[in-house]
Amino acid sequence: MLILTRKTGQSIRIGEDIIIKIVDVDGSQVKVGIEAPKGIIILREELYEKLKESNIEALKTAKELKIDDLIKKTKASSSNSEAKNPIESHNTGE
Amino acid sequence: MITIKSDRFGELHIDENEIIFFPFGIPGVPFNRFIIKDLIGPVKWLIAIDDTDVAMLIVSPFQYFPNYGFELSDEIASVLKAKSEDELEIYVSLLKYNDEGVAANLKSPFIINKIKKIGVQIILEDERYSFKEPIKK
Repeated sequence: MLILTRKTGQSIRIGEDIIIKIVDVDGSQVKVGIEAPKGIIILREELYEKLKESNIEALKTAKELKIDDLIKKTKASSSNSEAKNPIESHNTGE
Repeated sequence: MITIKSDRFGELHIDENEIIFFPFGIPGVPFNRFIIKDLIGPVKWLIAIDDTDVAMLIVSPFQYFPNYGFELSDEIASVLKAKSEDELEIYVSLLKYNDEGVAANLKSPFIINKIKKIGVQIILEDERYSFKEPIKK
């Protein structure tokens, strides 16, 4: 791994069009600014790892979950799935 | 029309216009061409056409979480080549929850442009949403 030392306000350029700027340092926290072309996805590494795990788990769930179970659990049926929601609504708002 | 034989789905007849391309892939999944097939009620399959063993159960989040929502960034909208919101469909994956229940990954919805057949899976910054939100009965 290439390791560079930078001061606040200084930048690193990666290739033609990616710039990483050290915006602020406060103790162990570093604020980083990133300039990159549209279409490049920038994520916190730990979130990316969590998403990967979650997707792998979803593949596993799809393999293991019996369809009959699923129908019971989601109470999904083609007749009532649209009109009335049989599952208690879950408020993620508050 | 392509026909794929699969242990899990039997013979899958796929119209090439149905194939959804994920330009950034799906993290943890080594493929980027998928189809969506109805399973039961609101639950659908998201199937990798290059290996139909690779499949997830997905569902519209609004079915179970009516207050769910997020703002789509211009960057993602441009990747999806979306001219209007009407072109977009939102899905979340289903996960087992504590052996007995089912949960949804509200943190990383799939956004699909159903007209142009482009898909992305994004991660929301919104702290209200988790990778495993139980679907309550």
